[in-house]
Amino acid sequence: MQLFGAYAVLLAFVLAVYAFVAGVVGHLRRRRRLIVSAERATLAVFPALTVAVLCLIGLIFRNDFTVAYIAEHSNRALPFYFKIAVLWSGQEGSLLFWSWLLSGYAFVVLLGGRLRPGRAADELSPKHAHRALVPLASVILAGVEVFFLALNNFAASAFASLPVGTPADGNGLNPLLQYSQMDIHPPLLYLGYVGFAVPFAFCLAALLKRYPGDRWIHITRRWTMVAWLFLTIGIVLGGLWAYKVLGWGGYWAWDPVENAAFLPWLTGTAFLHSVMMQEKRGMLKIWNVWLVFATFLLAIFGDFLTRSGLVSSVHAFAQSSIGGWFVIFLAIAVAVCLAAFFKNKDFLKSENPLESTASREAGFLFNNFVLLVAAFAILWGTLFPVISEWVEGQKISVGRVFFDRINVPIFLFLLFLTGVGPLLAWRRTSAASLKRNFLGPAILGAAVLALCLAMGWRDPYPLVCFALAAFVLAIVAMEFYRGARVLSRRSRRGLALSAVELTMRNTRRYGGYIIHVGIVLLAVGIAGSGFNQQTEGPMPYRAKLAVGPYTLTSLAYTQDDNANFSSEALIVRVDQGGREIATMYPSRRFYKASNQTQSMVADRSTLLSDLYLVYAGDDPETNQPILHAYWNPLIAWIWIGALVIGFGTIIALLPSRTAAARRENPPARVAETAEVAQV
Amino acid sequence: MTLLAAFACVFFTALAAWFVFAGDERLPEDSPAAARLRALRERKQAIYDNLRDLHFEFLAGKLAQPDYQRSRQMLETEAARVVREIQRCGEAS
Ligand code: HEM
Repeated sequence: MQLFGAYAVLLAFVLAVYAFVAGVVGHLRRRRRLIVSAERATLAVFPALTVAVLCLIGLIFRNDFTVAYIAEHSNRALPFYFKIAVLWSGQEGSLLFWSWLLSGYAFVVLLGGRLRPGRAADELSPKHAHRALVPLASVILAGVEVFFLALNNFAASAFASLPVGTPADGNGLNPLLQYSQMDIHPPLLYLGYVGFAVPFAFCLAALLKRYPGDRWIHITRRWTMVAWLFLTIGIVLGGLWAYKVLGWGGYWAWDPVENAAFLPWLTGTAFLHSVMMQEKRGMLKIWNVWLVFATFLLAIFGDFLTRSGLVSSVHAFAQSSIGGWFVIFLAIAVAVCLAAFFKNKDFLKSENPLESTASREAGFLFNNFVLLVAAFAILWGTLFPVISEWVEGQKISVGRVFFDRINVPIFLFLLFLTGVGPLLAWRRTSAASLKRNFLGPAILGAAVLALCLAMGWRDPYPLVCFALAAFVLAIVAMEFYRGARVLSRRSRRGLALSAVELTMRNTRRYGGYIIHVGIVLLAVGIAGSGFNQQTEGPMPYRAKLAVGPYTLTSLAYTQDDNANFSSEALIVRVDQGGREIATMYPSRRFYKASNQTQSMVADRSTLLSDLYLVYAGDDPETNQPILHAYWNPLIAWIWIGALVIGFGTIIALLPSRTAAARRENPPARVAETAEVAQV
Repeated sequence: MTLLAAFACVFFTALAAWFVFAGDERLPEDSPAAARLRALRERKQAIYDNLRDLHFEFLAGKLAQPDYQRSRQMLETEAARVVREIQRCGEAS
């Protein structure tokens, strides 16, 4: 199986190289057969890699420790659901997994781009336009595959044997990865990172072909949404993992690897907004192309940061030599983007100028500007240790304070824009329209601010955040209400049903608004950290500790043992207002295969706050167990917000019922073809 | 075992080669005139969608009358230009 797996990876590499070379030559010389065979080779990479991945999983389940990767990352006692996670828990396996996902995306793109017999004749159909771009996009995807498959074959093979002997058992999976969130966090994150290769491929293909029309931008937007959805959920699950596993009471530490995932998310978000300006008004074409390029390059850069050991991080793989490969690939990719852009720049001329600063277009421009400032600040802070080492010969890291100080005001402004943007009209908004739309939400925001002040809260950031949250929520609710009211009058249905109908008529817009609600909830959850409390202390039998509204009492201490780990737990009673409300079990595990100890957080989560307990081991001097206790208000809203974002994104990805809307609500009197033609 | 693996490798290589070279799909021809016409039609559709959106926002009470009138007029002018161009392309082809 080991030999066969290695062979399958090699076959995939050969196929990808062929697809790339034949595709490039086929396009340059206009050789149809070469282009078709290149496309088919790109398709075939996926089954080949699927075989390879299945072989590796088979070897993991067979505990075949002759394979170095498995001896390093698995062990016999590892439960089967964590054995799957072995696939992506180390450098080599995760690179194979990455290539497999990339080939899977290419496979779906190619199958989706096929024309059913009979359709090819209609040159004017959108499907035809899609098909026309697929061959070149698939060559670009094959080019990206060549790079990753080269790594899989020549730099980090998952099927390499141990140099000598076969150990009786493996070193085991890193204890930090033995959590259920870890089973799905990396695949989702990777689906996000890798997915940005698809919009990149279509965008570059359209630029190289100087493809007229907007079809390519629709395709690019759709695929960006898919990757963005996965990346968003992957990032939030990463935060959830950090929160539940790392035991420091927080979920986001501005760690380089967290930042690396956040960067393409920011540029991707910017693109999802600026793309609307191109679709609606033919504006910002150059900007959009560069946002797509930047998002892809940042995704690769993020992978590079995680894998090269350039910066140290709890999420990163060990120091390795593959960084050089990434630098070369990134340099080539940047060169290709620049060359394609300068050669075809004239193709990206804007069709309309910006007419007013009080317009939807200006709102999107601000949105993009703010998102990019945030991205730049985070990139700068992340790379500061490297830059300072180059310049001063000394690694200086900027901490949380830097990131918080810069980003909190930026994101509050973004939250404000999230409310304002959807209410601005395209082209120009008069003062009358502004007043009509903003007055109610602004009053509500001010009322919330006054209420918070009256409650004695003084920390400015959470205050502003809550007021803005009320402002944005009011605007979204108003948008749904007004639209539903129009439909309800027409159809005589209830408002709730009309709101659903409204959403399905314009999934993109109302899905987008649902996403904004998710962002608001997430912001509220983050703002809650302004009220966090934490304490720690020894917890011998009957000792007490107070945190937030709770009193904790140590009741007992237990121990357990199984094949994978031994554990010890504190039993803690939780009282609130003199009444017992829960018993919690913060514990520590000692993993036998890897000889590592890991704290297991006990978390009691409600919509209002989390009580988060960490058993930090025994005090070496007194031998008494030490408990760290955290009271984290509103944190559950972060995870709820992420679910709402996911739901909204799925809605936004559904096709709108615009065809039906076109029939029922034609722009008739305003734009009948014949009538308009005479204007 | 090794022999079996070697046999499987040869078999899959042959299968992959057959798959790659056996296809003879017709790729859609995309004449510049058709691509241009398609782009214009997409533009027209986008403008019509914008008009419908505008109308709906007006009905929902988001826009003041003068804002609505001005935007509508601009979109109509743009639509007229695109429709004229489509007609010209249609005649030319
Ligand atoms: C981090 C903050 C934000 C996130 C994550 C976000 C995300 C999104 C997403 C994913 C969509 C759907 C796009 C599509 O379906 O193609 C959307 C729609 C939209 N966003 Fe945002 N957004 C954010 C902030 C903003 C801001 C600051 C503005 C202000 C200009 C804005 C204005 C809009 C508008 C107007 C729509 C609906 C577009 C339509 O009519 O179809 N968003 N947003």
